[in-house]
Amino acid sequence: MRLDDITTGMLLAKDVCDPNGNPLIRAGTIVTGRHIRALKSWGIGEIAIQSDAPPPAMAPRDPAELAELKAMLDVQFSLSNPEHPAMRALYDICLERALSQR
Amino acid sequence: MSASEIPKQQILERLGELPSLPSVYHRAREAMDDPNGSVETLAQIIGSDPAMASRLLRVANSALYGLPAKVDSVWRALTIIGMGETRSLILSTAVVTAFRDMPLGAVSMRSFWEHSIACGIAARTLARRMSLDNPERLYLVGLLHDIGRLCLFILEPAAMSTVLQAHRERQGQLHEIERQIFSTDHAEIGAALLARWSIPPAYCTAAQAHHDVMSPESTTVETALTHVADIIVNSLRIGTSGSRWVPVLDDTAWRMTRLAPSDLPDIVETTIGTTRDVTSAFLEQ
Repeated sequence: MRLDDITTGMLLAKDVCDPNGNPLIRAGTIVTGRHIRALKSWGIGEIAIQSDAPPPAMAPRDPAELAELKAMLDVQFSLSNPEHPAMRALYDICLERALSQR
Repeated sequence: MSASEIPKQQILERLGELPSLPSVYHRAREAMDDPNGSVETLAQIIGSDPAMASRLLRVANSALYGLPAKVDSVWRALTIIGMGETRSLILSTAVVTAFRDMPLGAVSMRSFWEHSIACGIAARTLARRMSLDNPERLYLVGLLHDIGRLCLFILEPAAMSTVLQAHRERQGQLHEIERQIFSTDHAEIGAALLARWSIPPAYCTAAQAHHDVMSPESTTVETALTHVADIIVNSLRIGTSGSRWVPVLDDTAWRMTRLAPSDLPDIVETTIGTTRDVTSAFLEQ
């Protein structure tokens, strides 16, 4: 599919590789805005998309699990300045990563 | 905890007990400083130490440089990477190798270098994002910024476990507790060790001041980027140099990066994506 027609949430069907065959993005990855920007900067115009890709949806989260992760991060950030916008962004990145690893 | 149980001078005097950089590093450095030196001579010097040569090739072929094809000769690696980068590659390989097999106790050596390498990569990524000249130099600054902690772990293991325990109990940031016990901290000790190794002053300054960013006038860009990289890597918990809780982000340092919080996800992704491969290249057989 042409890069112009790709939207976020689509599922990559084949590895995207550099000219030497080294994989840049693995098959099975859900395409994000960051991927699209990276593909553009690499000059890649077309990628294979799985036709029956599930619609993008945030997996429902167990509120207790979320609260547990937040409590852990609150302690980890407790001696820092979590109200700073950059720290808030880092906190959110850590939370997102912790959730995706569950 | 009584203040200044171990005087700073006592630690500084013992820096000579730490591993020294291998002779191949000093010979390579002389060749690089020689205006008539050539890449061929340098490659021969490195080739005379097979362990150094194979380690250097592994690192040269790692994600750190992203070379388009695998290189299998030292001469070719040095030619592609260029003289400026070669200096940093030889020094970092020599430092990591010198300390690799030392027992640390509380923190694993792998974890320590993983933290340091990640800080180097994060600092270099920040520098590239800011379009600074020669962003590669920031990698070495980040890599060496916590070297003083390695000195403290090796020279004062018992005192350092007291420091780590107090930090775990959230009595304060690690470097603040170090100051209570040692009347100095890893930043100052690290800068002293780097100066002893005749590393250029910019690196010593960044190591010394990475917890003490002052005003934009008195803070170098190296110091500011090392500070921000350290905060990013501590938040993500990529390895550790002992610190368990995320330090305070200095707003002056953050503003010097001219970045927006929305730039952070890409920087984090690059840092995580590169660090593991580079750590393996430095430490694994």
